[in-house]
Amino acid sequence: MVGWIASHQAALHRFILSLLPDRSLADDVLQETNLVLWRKAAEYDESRPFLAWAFAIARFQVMAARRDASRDRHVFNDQLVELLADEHPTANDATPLEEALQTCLGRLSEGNRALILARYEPGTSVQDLAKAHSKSPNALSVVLLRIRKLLEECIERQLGTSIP
Amino acid sequence: MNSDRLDQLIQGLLDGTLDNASKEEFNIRLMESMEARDRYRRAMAIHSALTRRGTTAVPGAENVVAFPAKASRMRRLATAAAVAILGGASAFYFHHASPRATLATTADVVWGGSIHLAANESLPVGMPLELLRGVAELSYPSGAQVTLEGPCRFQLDKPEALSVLHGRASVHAPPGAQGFRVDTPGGRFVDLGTRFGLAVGSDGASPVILTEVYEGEVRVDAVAGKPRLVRGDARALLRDGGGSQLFASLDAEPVSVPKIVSPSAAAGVNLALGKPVTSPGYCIRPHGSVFPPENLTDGRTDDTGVPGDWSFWLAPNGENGEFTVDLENVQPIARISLQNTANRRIDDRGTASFEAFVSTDNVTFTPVVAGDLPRIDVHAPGPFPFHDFTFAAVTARYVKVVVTDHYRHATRPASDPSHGGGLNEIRIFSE
Repeated sequence: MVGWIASHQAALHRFILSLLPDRSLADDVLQETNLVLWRKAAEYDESRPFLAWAFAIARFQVMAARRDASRDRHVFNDQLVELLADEHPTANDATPLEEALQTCLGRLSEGNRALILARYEPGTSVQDLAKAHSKSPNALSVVLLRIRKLLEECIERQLGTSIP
Repeated sequence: MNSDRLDQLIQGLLDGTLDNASKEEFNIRLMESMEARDRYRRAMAIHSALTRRGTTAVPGAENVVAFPAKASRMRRLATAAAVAILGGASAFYFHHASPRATLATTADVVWGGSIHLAANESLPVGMPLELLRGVAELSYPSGAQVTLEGPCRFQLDKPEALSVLHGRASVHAPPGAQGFRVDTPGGRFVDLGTRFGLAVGSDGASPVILTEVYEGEVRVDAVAGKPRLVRGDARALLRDGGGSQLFASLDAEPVSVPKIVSPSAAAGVNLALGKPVTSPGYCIRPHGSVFPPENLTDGRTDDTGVPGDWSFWLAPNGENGEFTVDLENVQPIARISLQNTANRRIDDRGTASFEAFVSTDNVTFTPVVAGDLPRIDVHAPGPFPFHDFTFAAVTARYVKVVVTDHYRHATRPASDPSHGGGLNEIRIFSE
């Protein structure tokens, strides 16, 4: 089971984060989901796809976290979260994407790479980063948007397909 | 649909600049259009990968190695193949700004999957790790130290936290590191500045967690009311109806979690390590108190382990018991080395005397040696002793040990059924 859980961390994180687009809440839910997967390992029916089972558990944890978190942390309404969960593809294709991302980060200009990596340092907010670069958060967001677009195009070229 | 506007909304979400009106607009746009939701999912896929990149190493195909076939027969560890992969060394711009736990020291460690962790290396965050054997010490930025004993499955989730999914851990949170959390399948323990031990196991269905406080204070968030335990307290955390509860005894025996000590290495090549062992019967009690004979060759010593996965063999109640080790090949043997058990310091079981036999076919056995084993001194510090018994070299595949007398609890009445033979480990050598 440890192998299953480890090899699906990327897919689980993507699933949870897309339903709960709050980095620290999503981290907590992933942690909780991993524990529940362990606990229920004996119930896993190996003839079923692992991710379908794991997503069902993660989805339940997302809903529990939404109930516990204050409403002002919610961006999406319940109906939309359910819809996003229903539609989420259960293919385990997050790892090739992470490898392609690594390659594509290497192809960014040094300035762009430093900026996007600084943005994703744990504990960094766009507000702090904007201050450090003497920009407004919105102006910085526009720059980050451009870098993310570059990454997305590069990753799709690397994977030879659109990101599912 | 205005895709630029959708991009703006997605960026606003990722960068935390959405106001309430934009949130509402975003909900409506996503509800309305599958195309918009696909677009959102693509953006989140990259966002997720970038976020994870900040906390975990990126796996690279070049780091994947096959799981050693030897381990595939190790009990309950067969599913451990391909655990965590440490990669990213090839990426020069790979950097970790936030401080995190490092591997301070290791003793005789075997990692599961394809992990190659060396001393002083940072540990990956958010990835299940498996220590198959040996003792590893982790050191956290706050000064907290955690010692883990294999077999142990664990994960680092936050800078000052640890999840133990299975196995033994002891935690030391010196001043400055108070509040260190340990999550287990049974719930959370918070170190309030102390040393304490945890044994995370299972009764087969529910988690069974044992804890003992060596110094200071621990808060048990897993239980309603968040009770605190202080020095000398030892408890079992069990599922009870809807919630979890702490009990001072497990199956009528007091709980204890011995401190982790580094494994004592065998002198010479131990032919029995990891080899199959059979016995006509073994002790089975509730709450994961099961003591099958494979424990005799698992390399774990000193009455350690966790509920459901202890390191020693116990005969059924009231029986001397016997077991047979299959070395899987006929080979010369001239010495056996035995480590007694005291049944987790309860001191109600153990082997007093034995006879050993060998065989090439598991049918006809020849006696080779007989001897006595002293009782384990449960109050003595340090590892339990091994006792060597040598004999003229013979060639054999099977080694049978028949217990001829066993120890009982010193003060319990003769009618108490909890007594019998038992042994922690057998090592077998060619000379």
